Amino acid sequence: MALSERPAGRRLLGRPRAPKPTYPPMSFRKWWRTLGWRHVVLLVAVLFALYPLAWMVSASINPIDTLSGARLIPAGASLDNYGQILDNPPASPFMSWLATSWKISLIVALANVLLGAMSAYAFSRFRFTGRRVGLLAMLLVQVFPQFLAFVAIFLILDQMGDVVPSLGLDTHLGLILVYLGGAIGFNTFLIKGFMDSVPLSLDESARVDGATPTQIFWRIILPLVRPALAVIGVIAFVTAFSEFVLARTLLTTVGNLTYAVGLQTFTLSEYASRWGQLAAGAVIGSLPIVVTFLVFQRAIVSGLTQGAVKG
Amino acid sequence: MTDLRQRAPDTSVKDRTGYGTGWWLKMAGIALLDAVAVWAAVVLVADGAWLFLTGLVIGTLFVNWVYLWPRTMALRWITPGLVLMAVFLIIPIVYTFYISFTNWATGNVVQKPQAIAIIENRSFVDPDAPGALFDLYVYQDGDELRLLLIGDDGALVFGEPRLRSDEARADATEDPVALGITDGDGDGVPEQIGPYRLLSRPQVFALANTLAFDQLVIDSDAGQVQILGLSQGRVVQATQRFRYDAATDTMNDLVGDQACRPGDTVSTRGNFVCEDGTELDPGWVETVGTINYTSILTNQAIRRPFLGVFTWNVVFALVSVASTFALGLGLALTMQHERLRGRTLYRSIFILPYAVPAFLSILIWQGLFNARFGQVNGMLEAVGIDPIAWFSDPTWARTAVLLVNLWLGFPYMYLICTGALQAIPTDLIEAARVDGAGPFTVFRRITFPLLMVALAPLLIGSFAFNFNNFVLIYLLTAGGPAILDAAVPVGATDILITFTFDLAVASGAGNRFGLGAAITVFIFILVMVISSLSFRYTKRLENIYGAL
Repeated sequence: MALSERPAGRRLLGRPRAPKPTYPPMSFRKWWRTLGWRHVVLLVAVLFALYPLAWMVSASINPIDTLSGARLIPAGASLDNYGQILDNPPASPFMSWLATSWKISLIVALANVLLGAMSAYAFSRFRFTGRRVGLLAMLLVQVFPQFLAFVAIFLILDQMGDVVPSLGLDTHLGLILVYLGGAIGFNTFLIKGFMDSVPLSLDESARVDGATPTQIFWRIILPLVRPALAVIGVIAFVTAFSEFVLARTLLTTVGNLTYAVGLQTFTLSEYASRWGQLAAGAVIGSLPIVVTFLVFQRAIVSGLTQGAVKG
Repeated sequence: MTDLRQRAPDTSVKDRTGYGTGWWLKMAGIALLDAVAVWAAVVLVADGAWLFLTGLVIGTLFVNWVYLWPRTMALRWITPGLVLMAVFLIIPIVYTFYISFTNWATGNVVQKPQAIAIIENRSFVDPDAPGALFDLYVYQDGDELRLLLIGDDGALVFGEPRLRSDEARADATEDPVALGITDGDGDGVPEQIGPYRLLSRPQVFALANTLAFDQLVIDSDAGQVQILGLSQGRVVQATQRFRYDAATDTMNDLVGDQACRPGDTVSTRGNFVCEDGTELDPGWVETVGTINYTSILTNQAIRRPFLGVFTWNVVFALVSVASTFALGLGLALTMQHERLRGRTLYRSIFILPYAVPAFLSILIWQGLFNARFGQVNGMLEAVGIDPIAWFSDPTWARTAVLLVNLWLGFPYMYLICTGALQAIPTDLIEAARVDGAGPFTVFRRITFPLLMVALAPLLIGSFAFNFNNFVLIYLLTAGGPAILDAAVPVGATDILITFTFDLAVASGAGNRFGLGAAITVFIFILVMVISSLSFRYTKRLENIYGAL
């Protein structure tokens, strides 16, 4: 099922909602037996879901560095912790880490989608020997999570750094290339599925009009699969943003770390005393992503059932 | 419909005549790539890294062929991704297999010729050799310490000292005359050399309280200057101690008058071992066959922790999948009622644990479970339960891991269960109801089996993911609490991949790449088995073939 094909009856973005059906009123007993207990169960689950998040926000505005606060809304709430983080202290430069993570994740997401779309285009639109085997091989290799090979990747990047220092260990470019190599196969496979659903007659008529394959790719296919690419891009972004093993193995300088690795080193060094800063850092780090997820809920959820996995 | 794709698109005309911007961009890109490749090749030849050089040459020729040969249309679109995938996914996997058959570890990281060169270059200074005596003067500029030695014949050595135990260095001496000598009183001992000022005797005595002068040496061209006390030093000629004999593959110890041969036991492979039993450092990387694998299976010191970790790893993944699936399905079923209000709000809240990047929420959970300051214990205390040592008791640490993973994983299960429930045709359920089946029977006989058909591959995928859920374990407990009597660093919540990580890069005992890679290969095989199960369930492969 393509992302663009939603089951009938579900609301498409921007279209008016169907009028709500009206139900006859019921007695409390009946309400309790059909609906009431459901609310109770769901509310308990809501408490569980919100528990750490609520305390995260609470601690981030708590002027005393404590995480055993008895009150969710702390006395004398202030934004001091946020101020300290925004100051980017040299020992734990939160803002540099966050900027690094955003930079790396954005480049990885864009390049991943572009490279994936390019190879998907070839697999979807060209006939060539080894096509079937190639696609199959790409998917099978992807069975191995890339980070498991961190020892080998570390040694390869070490060697590459001897030759081209800007690609070696402790460089962002090196890490970006490693991330790009990790998910191409799976993204190619996913995007190919969407491209296959674009009718060939569109290519054919464009070709009759004299369009080259490059023009067909950029002007016809890409715009048509753009919604799917957006979802894959968001998931690629979050995956790169949350990746830990390779970033931890390859990056070493404090100012050079990603947010995930930086925060982990922060917890190791100053955790017990600076809990408010960590909580504020977590809020700052997660807010944009949480908002994106809530806005694109439907698209991301249908991406999930296609087997897309977030890290 | 006739398949229009059967014909390769005819673009040759455009390709041959068009020298537009695209063509120039392409040419510039290839030229740049080739330039970098040639430069890299030069460096690799100098390094003697033939394996990497071969890869580079093949890769560069391939890219050039793809973009310069006229009939490679499809490959032009695939190559950028393919190259990245080859270099950073396929080669690392193959390389991991290779490393698992070597003794690659701290102390064995270079190739044999390099190791021989390093050992041969190591200078040896006889501690009992007489040597020529020099007078010693100490100079200082801020934190920088310099020593000046003046011989009987007026010879000068000026330089930065190092401890005897440190590595020898090539550029320790400087020319005092070039730095600028100030000798105000004309006694032949300068008060000032460049920025460095002569220290008085009391100052030297004070310095000697914190610095062991008789452990200092200076590496100079005239030989090694050994500092004997606070006022004297001597210059001794360094000699070569080891000489390699290629014909017999022996490293001869000229001082100890003994032969050192490559070791042949498990622990000495890749090192020269002398007749008196000493091992020479550094060693080199050598293929050692299946030693790493057999030591996992037979070496008690590794096998016991490995089996413990493996068992917990399987239990952890199974319980994680089962608990998250149960909660997710339960919530999805609870919300399946068209008259239930607030479903959108509930869903938005349940999506939150999934949306927050896992590493952030795990770090928060770690704080909440903190035994002394954590909110969890605070809450328990409020209802009269004694505080729990979450991270120092093995059972409680495992409980905490599973609880946090339940929180992390249930939204995903809830979402996919909701999707799958909606896809089950309602008329099936209606029909069962009409036939008199109660809600429980309907669920057991119809809903659940249909659900499993749709979700089995996703559950297997979730198992595979959790089996290697590095971030959860590493950020929440770091594998701890540590099992103290184990010979390798290992903890009660370690799973295979965190165990490997500690073994390979993060442990204080040095890096054991070879052993780590062997365990990784073991994980690879498990992942392969799990995935083939998944493929079998989904018949995904057939679907691919169907789509081709």
